[in-house]
Amino acid sequence: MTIGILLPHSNAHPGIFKDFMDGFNSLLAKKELTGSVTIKKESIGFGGMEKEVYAKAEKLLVSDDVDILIAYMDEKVTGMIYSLVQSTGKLLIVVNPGANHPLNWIAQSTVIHLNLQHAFLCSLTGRLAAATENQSAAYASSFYDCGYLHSADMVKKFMTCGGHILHNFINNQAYDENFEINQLTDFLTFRTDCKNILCVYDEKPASLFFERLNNHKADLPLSLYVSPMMITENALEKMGAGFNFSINGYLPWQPGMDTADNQNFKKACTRPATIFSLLGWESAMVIDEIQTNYKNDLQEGEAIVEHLKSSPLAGPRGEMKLDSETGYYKAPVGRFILEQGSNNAAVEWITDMEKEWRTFSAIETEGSVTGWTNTYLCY
Amino acid sequence: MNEAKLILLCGSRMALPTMRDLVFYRQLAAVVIPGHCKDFTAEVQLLLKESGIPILTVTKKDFVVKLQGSIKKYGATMGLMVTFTYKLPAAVYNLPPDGFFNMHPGPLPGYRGPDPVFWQIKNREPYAGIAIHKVDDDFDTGNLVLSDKIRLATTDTHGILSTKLAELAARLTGVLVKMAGFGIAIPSRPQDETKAGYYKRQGSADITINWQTMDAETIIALANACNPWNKGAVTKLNDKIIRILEVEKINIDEGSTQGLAPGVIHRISEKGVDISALHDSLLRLKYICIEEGFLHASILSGLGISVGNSFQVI
Repeated sequence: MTIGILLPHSNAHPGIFKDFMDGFNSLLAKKELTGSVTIKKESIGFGGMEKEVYAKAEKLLVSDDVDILIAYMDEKVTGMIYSLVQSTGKLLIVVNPGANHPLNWIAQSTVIHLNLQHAFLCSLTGRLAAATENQSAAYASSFYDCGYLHSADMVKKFMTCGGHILHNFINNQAYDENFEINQLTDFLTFRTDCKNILCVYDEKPASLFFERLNNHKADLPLSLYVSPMMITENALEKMGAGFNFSINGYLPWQPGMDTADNQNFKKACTRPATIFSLLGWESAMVIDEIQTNYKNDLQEGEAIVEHLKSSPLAGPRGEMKLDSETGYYKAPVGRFILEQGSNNAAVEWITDMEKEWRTFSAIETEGSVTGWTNTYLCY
Repeated sequence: MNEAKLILLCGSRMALPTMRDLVFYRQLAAVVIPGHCKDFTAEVQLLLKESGIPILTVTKKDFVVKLQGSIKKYGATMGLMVTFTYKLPAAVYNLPPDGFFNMHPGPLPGYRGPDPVFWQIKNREPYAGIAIHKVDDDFDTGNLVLSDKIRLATTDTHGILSTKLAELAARLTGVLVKMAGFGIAIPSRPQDETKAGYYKRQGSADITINWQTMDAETIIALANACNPWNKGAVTKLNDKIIRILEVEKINIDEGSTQGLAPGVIHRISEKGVDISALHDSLLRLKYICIEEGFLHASILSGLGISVGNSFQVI
């Protein structure tokens, strides 16, 4: 079995390439598949240059004749290689954080998507924020983070559930000591009725954002409703004894999840477990399932997808099921709550989100959509 | 990156979003329209008024010569047909260096034929599709290059679906043009002939309601498939031809239509005309087209139609 992998790199998350491959190889080793799987890798920069991605995908699919292609890339670019994939009939596994999604959710016959469901989780968070008493909030993000659909999904869900956005704050500063949120805190000082903030940031700016906001003295405690990357260990590193605001959100996985599969995953990896090694591990779980059941028909993408639809996988974040309507893997989600003044976050894992997922994926994105083409977190 | 320049052969508004995008990205070399599409030609002339992009009108007799000349004259690197009705000879489709393609408004190979939009709605498909294929010696048979789908809503008329597919076509054309710009061979695959289906141009039997054999959902789909191009699905009432533009299924009071034959008028109100359909279901006629005009169905009560009258099978 020959697997082609398109991998991006990232200045913000430099370990992305190594972590992904560590997770991938660790699962193969654990399943004793290392000898029977040949891996061909290609780097695709930040994953946003369509020509580069296309050329590398063509090399793997056509010249190297890999059986299956795993592409760590964004949805926007994926459409460029569908033609290649369709012409070969091979399986394409699209992997990314899930901050973007297709404009319509109709499954492609030889394509599956494995991601961290960031856009879906942001949508859930938007709904959560709209359930607050006064249903109004400010919105805070960065020029980079707001360029993906997860941001629009959070705000749209908030508004369709009756929420009102009182203020938009988008900053575009370097993530260093000069990072400031004065425009937002000025607004909060002026509008003391604004008690909620919808926030979408990557880990590093999230950490700075929390620190700056913690210095703001609000009359009444603020409640933050945040994107998944804001509730990672790195993002919360400056929590100390607790923030003077509460943090709410949803997350796809935590290193500390106390399940046997998660412990096995962490133990098997040779590097500290991250979301990127998680995606690598889960991609290899799919490969293992295919190798076990489709050893002789590895290039029959359509038949493999049909098989995977009825083959749930048990992974570090729980049971993963391939949604036959969209071609996306669904997994449990964690409801995160950090109370004001506490450094002890609570996470409740929810396994049945079928209704919410169905509602989310039924919405077709209409009108013009702009945004970054590189993969989220690859910058 | 090489800049692809397209010569666009088209005959209906379905090409307009594609044309819009190609103009925006300065990738349109020329537009070619059959001479009989006069209204469409006028619309395109208005749209491209200040763009400087040439618009050629052609006939069945002269289109080969005109196309051969235009491809060279305007430096077209690629050809694209969107609802263009003439069959191209190899002497034309082999000319552009990046190839000649057809945008077919239906999935291939299952929906070959001149009006797949109509048939997809009439057949109540859950999804509607489009496909870009290479042009060869026959209609709709060339190698597939790109395809995509959208959900087909039960309220989508021929007009609405055409608009949606036109936008999808523009998006797929964008991908095609980008691939051509990469300077590498555009991948394609032969159509699976075992899955091929051909739908002929719809005839009068295909657009007529048969109250005895069609259930409520089939009638709704047929009305949608005939709206607006045929001014609705055809039926007859008191020897008068009526075209149904919009009809919906409504809930019925328990047993209220039991025993009523399909096609019998059950109630007329300001909401419309309620008609019994197969399997004890009830349809509400909302908009119709008759000699008197495009009207709300309740107007029928003023034209001598009353409860108990029955729609006839033509």
